[in-house]
Amino acid sequence: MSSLPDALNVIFTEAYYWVTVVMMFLIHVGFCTYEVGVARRKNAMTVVMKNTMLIPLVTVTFYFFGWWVYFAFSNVPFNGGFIDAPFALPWGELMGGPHMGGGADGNAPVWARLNGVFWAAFLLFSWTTASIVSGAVMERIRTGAFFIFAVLVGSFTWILDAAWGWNPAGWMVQIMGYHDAYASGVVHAIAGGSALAIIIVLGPRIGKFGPNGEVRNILPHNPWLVTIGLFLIFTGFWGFYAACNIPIFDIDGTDGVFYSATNIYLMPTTLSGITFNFILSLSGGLMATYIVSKGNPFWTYSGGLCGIISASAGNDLYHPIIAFGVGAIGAGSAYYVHNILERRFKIDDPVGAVAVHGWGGFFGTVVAGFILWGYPAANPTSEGVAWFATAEGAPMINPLGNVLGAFIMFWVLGFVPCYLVARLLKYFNMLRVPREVELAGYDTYKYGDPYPYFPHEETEFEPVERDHAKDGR
Amino acid sequence: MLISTVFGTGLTTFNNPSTIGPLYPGVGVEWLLVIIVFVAWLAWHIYQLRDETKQLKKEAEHFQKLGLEKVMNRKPHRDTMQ
Repeated sequence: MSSLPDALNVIFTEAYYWVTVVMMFLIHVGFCTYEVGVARRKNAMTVVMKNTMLIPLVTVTFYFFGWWVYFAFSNVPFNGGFIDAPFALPWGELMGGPHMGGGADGNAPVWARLNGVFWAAFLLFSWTTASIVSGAVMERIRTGAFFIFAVLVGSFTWILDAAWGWNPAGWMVQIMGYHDAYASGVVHAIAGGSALAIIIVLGPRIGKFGPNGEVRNILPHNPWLVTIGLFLIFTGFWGFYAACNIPIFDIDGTDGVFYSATNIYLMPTTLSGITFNFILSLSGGLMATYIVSKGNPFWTYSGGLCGIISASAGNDLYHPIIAFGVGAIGAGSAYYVHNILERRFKIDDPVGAVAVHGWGGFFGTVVAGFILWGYPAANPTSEGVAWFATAEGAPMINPLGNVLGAFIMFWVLGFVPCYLVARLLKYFNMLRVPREVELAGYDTYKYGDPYPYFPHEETEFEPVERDHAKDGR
Repeated sequence: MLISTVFGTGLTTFNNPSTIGPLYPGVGVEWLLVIIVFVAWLAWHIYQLRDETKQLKKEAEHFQKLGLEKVMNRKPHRDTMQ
């Protein structure tokens, strides 16, 4: 780069994403902390190892094919064929680490600086998506089976949905006018759908439901750690929001030049505006769930997270008070959705992932289609393909596109692939740990007690488990 | 010598950087690195699943031998570990 303004722009952007990646690492720290807190003492170390090892597994596979999927599949199957993306192929020079940008490609100097940090930002989204699933399946899934789901969701299904609906050229954006700026659907709804599919096949933890269907409470071993974990997730979520933006981009569609931050679709927003909305949607979620859960810490914190998730699809454009309201309704309703899933459908989801992420993401995506109806979703890449277009010919955000989009995220790409893989793993007896190990605890043989200097206090649930051990149920 | 022939960059100066592309060793044989690590990744999963199957079987038998209820009483702790 021989001009200082060009160099400043590119190297600032490189540094910007680098910082977001470090911030987003806190999401994973938070998930580990949170899930360990929710787990019972006898499973704590296995839970943290399961969540830790998804980091390298999703990383290598995202390097091998996830990043390429994002670019190559954006048109497939409804708006054209595969797109050539040599910079995302694992054997390509621009995936090769330090690169000065010299070469035949005119964009090489820019991509040489930005490819790694863009890749890493998306990779952190991948860890998050896989990690959301991790909490729902805890305390009975085989660790190796979870690793397969982590790769499936983290390096394939979620990034395929991002190619379709979280990419300015994606066919869902161009044809349906799908809009999901901060990933209500593309990260959270798909993760919630995936989690639901796996836990349906996996079944509940032993003793969770009584012989007459009564729900038994399985207490977290450390509620305080749960709240700290969610605090860390909130913190990392700031980085996630920044990482979803392009910090400096010329958005003037005419002959002029106008630099602004944009959302992932290269449509204008501001870091300031999304900061308003992030905090207000967090606040809406916290306030609503504090009331509906009667101050339950687990649900109040989860509600804060769900508030952000619910407003995320439209937080690039919402008024802060709208973000507050959407966050409050999404999070407040998630509390009831979880109770319905548990009480009526006997779904054992220890962290409430299906409600918080699945429902919150689904709801948020649908709502954004109504509230932002009429806005341009992206600049058109081809003429006349959009179901609904603005007067200027851009694909238009609309309710139908977002309702169908939410369905695709949760059911088509979230539920179906994981359900099929879960059935396959169950067929080969590789999905669930043996009954004896589940009752005794994952850690009991392998790791021992994580608190060897603290006496064990029995909860109301343990006699129930011993009854199961006694009569072989 | 072989390593430097296959993986050498040929770079002896960083002057005139606008003409320089990749800085990493191994330009032209990235495909080989990808194949090696791809196979290692698949092998890792296969090994992990097989090892886990054996380990879980062993644990289940151990708990049966000790008596599951005794293990669940958590006393004495050390007997239950490997």
